[in-house]
Amino acid sequence: MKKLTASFYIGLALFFLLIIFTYVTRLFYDTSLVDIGSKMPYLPPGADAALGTDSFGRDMLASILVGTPSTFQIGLIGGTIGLLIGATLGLISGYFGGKIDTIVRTISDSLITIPSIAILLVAALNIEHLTRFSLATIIAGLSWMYPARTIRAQVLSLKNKDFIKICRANGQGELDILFRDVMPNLLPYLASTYVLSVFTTMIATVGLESLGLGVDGDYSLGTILYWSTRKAAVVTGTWWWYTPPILVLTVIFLSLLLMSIGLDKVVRPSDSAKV
Amino acid sequence: MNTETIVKISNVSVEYETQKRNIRAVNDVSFELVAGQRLGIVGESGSGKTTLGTAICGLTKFPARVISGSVQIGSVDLLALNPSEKRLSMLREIAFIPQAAMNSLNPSMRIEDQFLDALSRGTKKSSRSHFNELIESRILQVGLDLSLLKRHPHELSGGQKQRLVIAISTIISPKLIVADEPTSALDVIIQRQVLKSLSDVQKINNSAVILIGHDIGLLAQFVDTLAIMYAGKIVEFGSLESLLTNPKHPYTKKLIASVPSVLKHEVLIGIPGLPPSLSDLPTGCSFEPRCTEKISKCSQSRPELISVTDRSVACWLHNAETPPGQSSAEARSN
Amino acid sequence: MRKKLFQILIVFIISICINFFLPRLIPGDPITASLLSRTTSGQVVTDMDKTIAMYKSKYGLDKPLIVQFKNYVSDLATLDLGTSLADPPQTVSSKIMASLPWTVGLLLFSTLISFTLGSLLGAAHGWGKAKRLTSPLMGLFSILSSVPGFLLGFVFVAIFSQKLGLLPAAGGFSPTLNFGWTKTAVLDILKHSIAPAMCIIFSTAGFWAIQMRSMTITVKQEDYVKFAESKGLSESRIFFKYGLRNAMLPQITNLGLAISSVISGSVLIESFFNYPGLGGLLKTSVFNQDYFVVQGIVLFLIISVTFVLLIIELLNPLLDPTLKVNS
Repeated sequence: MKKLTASFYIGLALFFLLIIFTYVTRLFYDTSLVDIGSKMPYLPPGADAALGTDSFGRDMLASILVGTPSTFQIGLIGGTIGLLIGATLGLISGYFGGKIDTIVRTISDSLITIPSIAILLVAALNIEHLTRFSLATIIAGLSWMYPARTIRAQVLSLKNKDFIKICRANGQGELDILFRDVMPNLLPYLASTYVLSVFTTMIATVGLESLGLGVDGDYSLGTILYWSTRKAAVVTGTWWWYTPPILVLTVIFLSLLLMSIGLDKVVRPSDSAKV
Repeated sequence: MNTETIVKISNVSVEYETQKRNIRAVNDVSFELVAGQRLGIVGESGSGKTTLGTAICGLTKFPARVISGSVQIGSVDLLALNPSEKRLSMLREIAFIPQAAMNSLNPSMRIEDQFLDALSRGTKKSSRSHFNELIESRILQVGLDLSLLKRHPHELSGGQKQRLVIAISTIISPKLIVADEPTSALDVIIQRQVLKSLSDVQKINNSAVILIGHDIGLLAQFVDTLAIMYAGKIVEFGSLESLLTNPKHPYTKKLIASVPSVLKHEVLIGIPGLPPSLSDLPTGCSFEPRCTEKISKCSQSRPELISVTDRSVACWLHNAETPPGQSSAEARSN
Repeated sequence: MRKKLFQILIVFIISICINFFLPRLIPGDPITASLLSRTTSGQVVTDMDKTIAMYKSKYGLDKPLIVQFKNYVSDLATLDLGTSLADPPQTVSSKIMASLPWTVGLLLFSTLISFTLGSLLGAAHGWGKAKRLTSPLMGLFSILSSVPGFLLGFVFVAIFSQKLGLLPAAGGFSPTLNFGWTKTAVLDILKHSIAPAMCIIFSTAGFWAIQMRSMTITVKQEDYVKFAESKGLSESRIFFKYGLRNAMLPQITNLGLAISSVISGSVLIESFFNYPGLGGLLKTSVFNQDYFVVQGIVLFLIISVTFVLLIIELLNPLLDPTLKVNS
């Protein structure tokens, strides 16, 4: 196993710190303050409200504490499902080739060109009760292609490596080879595509929520942004409304990006030129 | 043949920087060439011949570094020039024809543009038509058709591309042409065409040619002088005829003997052992571990390249310092 | 190339089918729901039952699936995407057509700049020139490209519109504008497009830069670059004609792959700025629960991606001489 770079660990640490912060602070802070009218509206950050309040009188800190877990959950669930579907299809299609490969590849290449926002809109409009899980699944249905492509390419290159041929010559069964010899070599790629999967899921979620079409009843980071634009927070100067969610989102995406860069060095060491 | 020295290589050494220590790939190489002379540098992989060729052309790049020596072409010392002067002297004084030249052509440029590239640098306002005439004459000179000019590299065959590279790099008629294994990736018939093209462009300006390779049989068809390289040093240097008929260095003897004969059924003779690792050279002569004619002195100190009657050789067996009785004593000169 | 065109066609067909089947597979009646909620929010919908029945019969929701599909396809062919629920009797296609020029203009302009700037940055960085300048820029743009573009919109408007008062906060043009080829009109429109364009550029340039960087690194090690050096060509000439030119070729294909996410991102950005393109139309239609318009936009997005892929596929052989197939 090649060594992971600092970038990966920093990203991972950031990610977990945020999760810990969110869940731990909830124990100390009253999250019911996210309800409408719990405080005076339009309070700037200060003594009365640590991060201020929005036009509905919702406490911003409480909003962040309530909104972040939703984004995390959808992202992680969606990313996991996307990876499972994608990696499995990529594995099968790359290893067994033939007709299966052609079918999977055609579907994958076709779906990849459809803008995700389009499908998400269709889903959001038509599904009456959108849950976190169903949204995650739909997004996974749109993002499995990337893991599938990457894993497939790797499997193809591994398939013809000599050590696999030796396994076959020794009489090992195909499935056995697949799980015991091919899979372990895919681990860095699986990790790298997982991070990417989670990343794209979160971006899609936030995008949808910013249009007001998120999960029913969920008050997530994207929803906060949606309401801030609805109430023209930028124009009214209520910067404390949209800045906390943007900061949290930036930290999340940054941590995922760092992890991805760190994993990329393992996956593609030839890419790093001498700086 | 003109006897004026046109190329003078003096004490050139090139080192590769690695994490542990520096490896000397070319160790104190010197020789001279006159106009029109054809030198073949022969050696196994790792002998340093490509590194030497690159260094002579001033194209040494990191992690390799020329740590000493001068390359005198005409009146210009290539290694002493600053970068922009060096760039101007490319193609004017010296031309480098790389190995596997098929990849040396820019895939997205037309052939004629790649010629114009070479012609128009430095000289700003020469007439386009003058250039075109020159290009056309060169293309025909290497035996290729004018229609190739408008094409792109991927439309051409390997042999065509190789000859184009030869034509492009020699278009301003350099004083020295260095070709690094120009035929290794080609079949025999194309090889012959390529060598003929090389010969044709050489004649235009009576350039000196250095042909680098590992196939002594192939080189022998083209060159008039031979330099045998081993572990970064030239171990024998002389006219083709004298080396082929009377090789003195044990390595040279083995090399010549290893060329299979078409006419006779023989057991193939190789050279036992492997070339030494350049980071771990034996004290004494580098060839000593594989040599079948060695004497005790060979493992103690390294022999220098010394002129004897009709050539130079670096071997204790042919060195006047060696006490008589161990080799035929030869008069030492220079 | 034929294979690629065939693939694009398959994509198109699959997209059309998904667009048709997905809503119908999901239980629930969006039209009724939409009309119902319209009534509760105060809009007057006359003769609710009759309207619902009319829509149902028009869209043949009571007919078998095959017939519905046939109607769907024939409607598509004539660009009949239905009538707007919020602003009858305007048709969906007329609304979309009206917003299209804005999106095309903004997207084309921004993507061109983003692609050019990003690629140059990536190429310069990969080549090793001016590292002191390119390294921080690469870092900056890489980070920016990981954040969805519309988040940048908040920052932009807050700084440039509110604090500095330089740019308008939203919209594509001033409400009092007289359209025409006058200087004021053109300037006004340009002013309104700067912020959304900046968002698109900053959030996508990093992607091109990263791609170009790795391509340039690969190209730099190629034999033809070495030969160019041995020809004594100047550094800038080698960079542009031997490095950049060859690294750029596969980039065009990358453009095609990325187009769907570029479009997704810019729709959200437009939506944030209430820019009168497809994004702005989307926002108002979602707000008004104008189901048919949203559906129409979805369809249009898919079609536009297919269209762009087609253009790229046709353009590629012209730009890349190595693709000229010799039979």
